[in-house]
Amino acid sequence: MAGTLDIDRRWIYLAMALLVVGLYAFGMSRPLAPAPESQRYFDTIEKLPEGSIVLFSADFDPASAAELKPMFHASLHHMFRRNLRVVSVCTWPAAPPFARAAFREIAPQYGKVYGRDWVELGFLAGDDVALGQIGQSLRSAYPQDKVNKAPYDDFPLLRDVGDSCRGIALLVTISAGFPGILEWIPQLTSRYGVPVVAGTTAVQTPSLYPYYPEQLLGFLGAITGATEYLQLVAPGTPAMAGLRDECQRRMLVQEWSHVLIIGLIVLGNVAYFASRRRRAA
Amino acid sequence: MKREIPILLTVICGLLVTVAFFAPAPDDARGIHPTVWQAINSELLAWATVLVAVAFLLGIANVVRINLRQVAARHPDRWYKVVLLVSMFAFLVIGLAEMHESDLPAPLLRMLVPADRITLQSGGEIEGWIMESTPVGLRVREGEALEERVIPHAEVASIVEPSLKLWIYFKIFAPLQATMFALLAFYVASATFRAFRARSLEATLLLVAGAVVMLGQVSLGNEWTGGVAGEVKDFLMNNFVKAAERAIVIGASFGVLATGLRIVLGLERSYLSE
Repeated sequence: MAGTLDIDRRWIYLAMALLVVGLYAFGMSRPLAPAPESQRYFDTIEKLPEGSIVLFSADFDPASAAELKPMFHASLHHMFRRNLRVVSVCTWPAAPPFARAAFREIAPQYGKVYGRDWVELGFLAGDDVALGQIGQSLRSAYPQDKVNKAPYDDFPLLRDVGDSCRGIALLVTISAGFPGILEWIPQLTSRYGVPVVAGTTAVQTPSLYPYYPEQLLGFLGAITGATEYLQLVAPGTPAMAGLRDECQRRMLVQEWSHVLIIGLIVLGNVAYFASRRRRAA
Repeated sequence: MKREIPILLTVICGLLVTVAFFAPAPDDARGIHPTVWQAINSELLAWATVLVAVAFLLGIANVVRINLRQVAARHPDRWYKVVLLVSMFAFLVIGLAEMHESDLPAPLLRMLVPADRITLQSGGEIEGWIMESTPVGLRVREGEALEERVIPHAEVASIVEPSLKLWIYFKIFAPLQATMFALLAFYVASATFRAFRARSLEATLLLVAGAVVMLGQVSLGNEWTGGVAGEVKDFLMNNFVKAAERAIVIGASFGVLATGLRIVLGLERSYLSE
């Protein structure tokens, strides 16, 4: 109950809907100042030597794609632009189509060759057991690739990855929950010393602070982090400009949604205290 | 024996995995070669992965059993159950067909898998099913009898590979899931208005901290407060949140450790339904 202010919840839904649609359609987007975590995410990838191998994990599904897909695409652009070699894995069963679509779209833009510059290994069932297996031996976790069903050793890129994560310079995980970054850290970073950066949903972001910046070198928190990162990546990657503007528009919607929610909290409390005072009188 | 053997297996596996965890990781650069512990651990992890994969099958069987029972009992929601079962099996069949298209007989292939379109450098177009890409060219099944032939890479201008599975995924499944998640915005707005009350000191602290973090998270809030909201948010996240999360994680880890030890020592037997 909202005290004496008994608003039909449909008015609140309508206000939220008008705000979201109106701002998304007509709002003017603007840049954000990058947070230190986002800057470190960018810097970590930026500083890797060319040819380094990155394990890139898609740990999300369509429910969180609005937050995570932009950072997944931006990270892939960034890695290919830096001439890093990418090994794609997925620990969520609904993630592979997103990963495949992103690689199919972005790899040709940089002239990247399958097997030499990137390999798609696909989904591995088993949650943190699967992550442990990937850490111990990528070869035993994935005896063959996903696209050609060819043996592991057929790929020059995979031949450079040995047991105990030898050869992997960085783990980048775009993570929506379990299994995700909180499982990757004990399985790969603590055990084999693989540096890691992550992109996560807003819900998961607070749980990353205990690991930052020692074990987790940098992270992107939800669409805010994605927008900040896109602003850093886009200047050297024209293909990212559209997505950056799109994310800035989404941030505008999010900003005013926060304001609406805070306004509703204040309104609800004013009504609550007014009704308490009346009851006491 | 029905109790002792599972307990013995659990104890052996638990001890082996624990020992392997603390054994030095193989590292050629430092001259550390794989030990027998890593080999056993690797094998056990592979078994666990297989077991999880089999659990998917059990999950399907369970969904079928529960929903068929409700359909048979003429439950008021039975048509939703029918939709669920039909969708699940249709997607399963289409997915399996795409995975194994090189093994499918011609009629099934035509029915379940859309044909790929290959545009040649000469301007011609071939409709067929690409089986694989070899170093020589594309191995394709085409024509009435779906005979196999190899088209050299040099002759191929472009390829379009339509996928019914991906069409369902991107046009139906993804928008439905995104819609469900997006509805949260409406529920959160309504719930904050109705439930977020300063009824006690703890509730007030939570409410104020939540509002400040929300303001500090967006640039508008920082502009309005001259950057104070952002600084307070960073202070809260880097001190209170970090400390509380660490306390929770460490506490939970001790709990997991204790439970693990009890399982390994055979003291915890709830997994045997005891």
